Formats: sequence, C-alpha cells, structure tokens
Amino acid sequence: MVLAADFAKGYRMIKSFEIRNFRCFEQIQLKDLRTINLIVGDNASGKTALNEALYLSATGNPNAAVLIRQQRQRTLPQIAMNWSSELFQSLWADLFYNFDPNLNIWAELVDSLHGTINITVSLSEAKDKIKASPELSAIPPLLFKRFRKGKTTTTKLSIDTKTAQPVFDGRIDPLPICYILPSTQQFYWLDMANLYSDLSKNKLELPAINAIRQDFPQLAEVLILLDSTTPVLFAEVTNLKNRIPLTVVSSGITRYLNILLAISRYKNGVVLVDEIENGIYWKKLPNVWKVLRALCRECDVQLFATTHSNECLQALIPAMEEAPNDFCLLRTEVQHGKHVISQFYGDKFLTALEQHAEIR
Amino acid sequence: MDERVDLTWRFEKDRFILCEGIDDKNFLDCLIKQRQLPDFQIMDSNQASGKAGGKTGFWPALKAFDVQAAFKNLKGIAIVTDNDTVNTCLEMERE
Repeated sequence: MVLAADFAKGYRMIKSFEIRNFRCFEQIQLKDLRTINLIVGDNASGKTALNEALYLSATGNPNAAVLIRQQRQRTLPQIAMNWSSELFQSLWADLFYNFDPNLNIWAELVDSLHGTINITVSLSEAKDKIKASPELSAIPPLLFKRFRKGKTTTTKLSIDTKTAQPVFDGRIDPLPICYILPSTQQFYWLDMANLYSDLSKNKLELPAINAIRQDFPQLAEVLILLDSTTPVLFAEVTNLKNRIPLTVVSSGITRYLNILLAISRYKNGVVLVDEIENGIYWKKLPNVWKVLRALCRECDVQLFATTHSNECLQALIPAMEEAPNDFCLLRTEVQHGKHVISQFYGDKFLTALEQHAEIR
Repeated sequence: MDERVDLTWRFEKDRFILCEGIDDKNFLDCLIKQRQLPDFQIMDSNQASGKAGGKTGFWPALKAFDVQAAFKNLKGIAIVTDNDTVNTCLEMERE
C-alpha cells in the first residue's frame, strides 16, 4: 500500500493532469485542481480509475501498477503450466483503454514543485518477446518511462511466477509521495502501523491524534502493540480497563484515522481516498470535513476523494464556507460512450450544494 | 446541516420554468394544464436556490444550475417574474 519514499521537500500541488489510454479513459484533462477535490459519478463511470490514474502518474513508480491491481482484488499469477501470449496480455490489459495492450498509456502532470512530468506505460517490448516465443517461462515486463526536466527514467516491471512477487529492473527515481486508500473496509495493518510508526519516530503523530479526538474524544491514546504476532494500532478508550485493537473500537474510526495518518505522513504529497464517507456517522461528517481541510492545509497535502453520498457532500458546506476556493468537484460521466469529467470550483460548487441540487 | 439534507432536487424534464414563489408556480401549473402546453418542470426560486425566494432567489439559483448532472439535457429555461416596476426586466437582465 505504501510506496517507500522519503518525506518530500516543498509543497507539491497537482495543478493540472492529462492522461490517455488508461482504463476507461481514452483521454481526460483536468485543470486548476484544488486542495480538496471531490470525485462523484455513477458506478463504473471512472471515479476509482481517476484516483488510480493520478496515483500511477504522481508516483511515477511501476509498483503503483501492482498496488492498484491488488486494490481491485486481483492477485498476481502463480506459476502456470503454459504461458501463452493471451494469458500474459490479460495480466495487464485492464490498465489500457479498451483492454488494448497495443496502446500506450501517456500522462502529463503539472505540479507546483516539479513543473511538468510525463510518463508512458507500454507492453511494446513484451509484445516482441511474445511473438518470438508463444510460450513463456517468465512474464515479460511492463515498461514505464518517465520524462522530467530533460531526463528519462526507464523501469521494467516483471512478475516472478515462482514467488508471484513483482520484480523491478531499472532505476526508480524518488518523486514526491502519494498514498491511495481503497473503498473496502479491509485494513492493511502493517501499513497503518508503518504510518503511525514513521510519524511517531519524528514526533509528528499528534496532529492526527488531536484531529480524531475532536469527533471521538473517547480515544485517550493510540499506540502500536502486538496483536498475537502482528503489530497493530491499539487504543486506550475512556472508561475501558484494557487497551484494545482500534478496529474493535470501530472500523469507521480506524478508517478515519488511517486517512488522518496518511495526510500527516505524506506531508507535501497527495492522498487519494475511495468512498471517503465509508464508516463515518453522518452527524460527524461536517466536522470531519473541517478537520480534513485544516490538516491538509497544515501538512500541505492535496486530497482527492470519491463519494456516492449526498450527506457527505452536504456536509462540505461549513468547511467550504471558510474557504470555497480550496474545493473542486469532479464528476465522472459517460457521454456518447466516452468517459468524461466535468469540473466545478469554489463558489459555484458551494452554491449548488446550498441549492440541494443533485450534483452526483 | 439542516433537515433538508436528503431532499435534493434534479432536472427531470427538458423544459424548466423558474418563478418567484409558490403562487406563481400553482398558476403556471394550471395554465399549462389548461392550455395543454408542453410539459415543463416548474420550480420557485426559494426551492431552486435553497437561499431566497422572489427575484432575489433567481441569481443564486441560476448561478449553479450547470453543476447538476442533468443540466446538459435541458432544452430551455424560462424565467417568469412579476413586473413590479418599470425596471424589473432590466434589473433581471443586469443580474
């Protein structure tokens, strides 16, 4: 879940973004993105794909392809008796528009720290190998190229079919950091423990803990303990004699804390959350948004969050009234068979919420 | 958040009339039915803007209509206002 990277230097804000041939998007372009970007839209309209597109491009790291595959509940292949070209292509085909691995994914991201970054992702080299040998003993690589300030970085991603582990060949140029949280209620214990541990070592965990206490004051303390043999987050809860695993307290509180820890840890970076309202009681949502905005501002983090919930959108109003221009609405839609994205900003977005209009 | 949280409204027809208040809405409903005019969705500015009724509600309502997903399906919007003063229409246009 977490890509190893150092704390980024300087504030990084994705200002604009364009991607071609990725998942359902033949081509999309986003401009003037803000600190908090809400993504709405029908099922299968591309909300999660947009988060994945941003993640793939912002990290510029081939490990992102493995991670978003896992977040879609897809495992990596174990050894197969006969690897055919079809079997290989089907492994990564869903990354490409129309499931066509002959296309190249191309993205351009402009951020406030690095300027313009381009990436391409292709299976072109792999296809040559497939032609030469229809049955493969190993899976050919997915080729990532990143272009930044006149320099090109190339990394190949292969899968070791004996261990089903990703293998990287090439230089991974550390870029500003990016974190993605899926919609499911599954928790990556080591991941959360890592987030907390990284922050705690630098005495930076308090803003997130204080933030969650605003809505959940019963959390007296959060710390890492072993649950059997696994390091997990435990909580000391007011009026309880013993410290208990955080998910025993509440899965919603755990997920909310995961988001807060990610924002604190990925300072100057980007945090992407799928279905942000999951697990949070509706009455808490207005203050949750205020807290998220304040923490994003404090940590210079840009947040992209999908939601299906009108309550979640309506709950934005108090936070938006403080700073409407910190917010952007991105709506994914299918128009004439093409996946497109509409953008609305600040005051207009706020007015639509105040109208109680259907904007999802 | 108030009690209207779940009471979202959406463009449901391809013709839309925005009027000043509930009395105007009722009148227009009857007129359209009586004259067998094409089907319109009629809404008063208080409901549409979520802020204010009368003429004051027109601008807040119109300002963000295009944020709605169904806005692209609209063929037209008619605004019906009382001609309170000689300058009513001019003021509306200015806004």
